[in-house]
Amino acid sequence: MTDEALSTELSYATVVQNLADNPTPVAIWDVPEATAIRIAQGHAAIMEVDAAGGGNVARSAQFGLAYREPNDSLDAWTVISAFSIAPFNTLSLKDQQSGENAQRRRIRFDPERVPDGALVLEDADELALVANAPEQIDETSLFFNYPMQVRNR
Amino acid sequence: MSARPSRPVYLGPDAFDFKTYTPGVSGIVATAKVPSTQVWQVPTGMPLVVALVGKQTATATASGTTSIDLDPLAPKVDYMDDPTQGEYTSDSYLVGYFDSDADGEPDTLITDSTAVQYTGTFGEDSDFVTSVEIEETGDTERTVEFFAVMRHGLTKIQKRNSGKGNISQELQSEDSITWAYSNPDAPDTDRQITWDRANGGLRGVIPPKFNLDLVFFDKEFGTSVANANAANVEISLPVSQRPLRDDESPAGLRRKVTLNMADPN
Repeated sequence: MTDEALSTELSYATVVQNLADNPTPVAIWDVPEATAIRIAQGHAAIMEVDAAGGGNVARSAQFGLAYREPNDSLDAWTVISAFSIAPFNTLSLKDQQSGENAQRRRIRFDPERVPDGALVLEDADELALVANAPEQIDETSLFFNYPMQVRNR
Repeated sequence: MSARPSRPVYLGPDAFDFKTYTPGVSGIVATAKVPSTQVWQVPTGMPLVVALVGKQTATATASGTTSIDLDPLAPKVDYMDDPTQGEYTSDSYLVGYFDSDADGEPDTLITDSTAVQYTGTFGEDSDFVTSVEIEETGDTERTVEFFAVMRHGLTKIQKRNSGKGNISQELQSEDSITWAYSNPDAPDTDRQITWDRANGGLRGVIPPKFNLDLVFFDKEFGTSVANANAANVEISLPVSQRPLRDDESPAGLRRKVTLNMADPN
């Protein structure tokens, strides 16, 4: 087990644009071969994203983490947590890295879908950051970081 | 002799050999080698500093001001000099060079009194510098280069054996932006990045002649740490260094550590 960051900067992260008014992924992590990743709730996420064309994403935008198993249909994402854009819009990337204002950015998983608060994704599973926003995001501005543990098989 | 204690050693940019990097691959950009008679041990909990830099090239138009948009943006790094406050040194988070003698090599530091100079106007967006305004005071179009702390990508620290069977093991990994905004001088903030406690025990032992590498990855932007002008690379990795004990052989220690690295976590 190694502590790493689930980040949009990873080599196996794909960042795409969402569809307006339609819950769609904006970042997809395709777990590499011979690897398992484990994410647990309770940590603070760090995120920065602008709306397409610049400026903050609308306050009504919702983001969440979702997973998809290998044989699920392409749009079958199971959302395990949802959070609002507001605490990320108000803080710069630098301020988000201080723990003082982390409370509103802690990720909680849906207890029905992730009963013990931690999720292990195996090789060929996919994890995504999904967005449900009234507008499109600027995918080049997206940055997301959440602690995870990586295990080699 | 055998009881000589370990002492802290700070590996700075001088201790590393820098290598060129191509975006899109995960590559070693800096390597420090353990001396052949010494053993390094990772002092868990000690603060780390890693700020790699990337190069951007632009042109300053003859006798006039030019505003240069930075891509990627330059993060304002707490522990480095701040050009927006007039600190135009070779050790700030954004350093500019211009070509003073038309040899095609921008190698003269830009300050507020050089032939190409800062006007003092910077575009800023919260904790980033987005643009720089410079003025060319002569009558020559000049090539300028800026070295800004990396905002994008991942930067990892790994140990790697020497010789055959190149095995490496990752010790610590963070986003470049997390490294840039770390604050080594403030232990009570959690922006301080310290050696991970997982690096205690045999995992944190780096035997003689092993390498300690910085590995960088980004899809789009490269680092230019190997460039002679990239003097604002900031690295400070504390290790505790001790001589080999009388009952230790370098080869034996290397074998023991390598076997431990091959074991999947």
